[in-house]
Amino acid sequence: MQGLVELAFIGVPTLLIALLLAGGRGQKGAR
Amino acid sequence: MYAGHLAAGLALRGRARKVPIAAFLIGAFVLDLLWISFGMLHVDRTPWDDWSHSLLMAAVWGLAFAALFRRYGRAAFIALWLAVFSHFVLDLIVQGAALYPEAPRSRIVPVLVSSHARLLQLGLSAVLLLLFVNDERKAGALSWRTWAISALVLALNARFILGI
Repeated sequence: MQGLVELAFIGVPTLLIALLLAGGRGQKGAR
Repeated sequence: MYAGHLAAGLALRGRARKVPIAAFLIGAFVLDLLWISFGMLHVDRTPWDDWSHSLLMAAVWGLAFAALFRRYGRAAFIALWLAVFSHFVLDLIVQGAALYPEAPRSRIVPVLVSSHARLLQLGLSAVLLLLFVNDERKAGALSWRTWAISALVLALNARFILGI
């Protein structure tokens, strides 16, 4: 259980940050 | 240490911008991912999590992880190795570490900073995020996203203040 909580604490912010940065690149490319 | 690892991954990103950011963030948490796996498999029963978090194994896991991205070149290899190894360095400051697996107690590095550790983690995160912001600015990629990510990582430091 503790392992799953840790995984969530690692995975969710990683996904959020990757999505945010990928979104920025996409916008730049579209211009 | 928790959010500081994310900050370290972000700070190293500027060294090899062609490498996906997820590689740096996952790299910064490779030791914890191994720790979780070893825990589930009942592999590492040492008090200092030697097989995932010792000095020697951090260097080895760093090499293994960076090798997955060797096609991006030497700078990327070094940056990704550093992302993995930074986890050892940051944890060492507030948690202590073994030098190698199954090391005797004389080979255990004690906690370097025990008082104001949470403040120190916040400060380290802020310094690493400043590097990230500066790299984004130099690359012409500074935007609200940069600040949102920085704010998120700083806010994640609250995890230990909340005790979760």
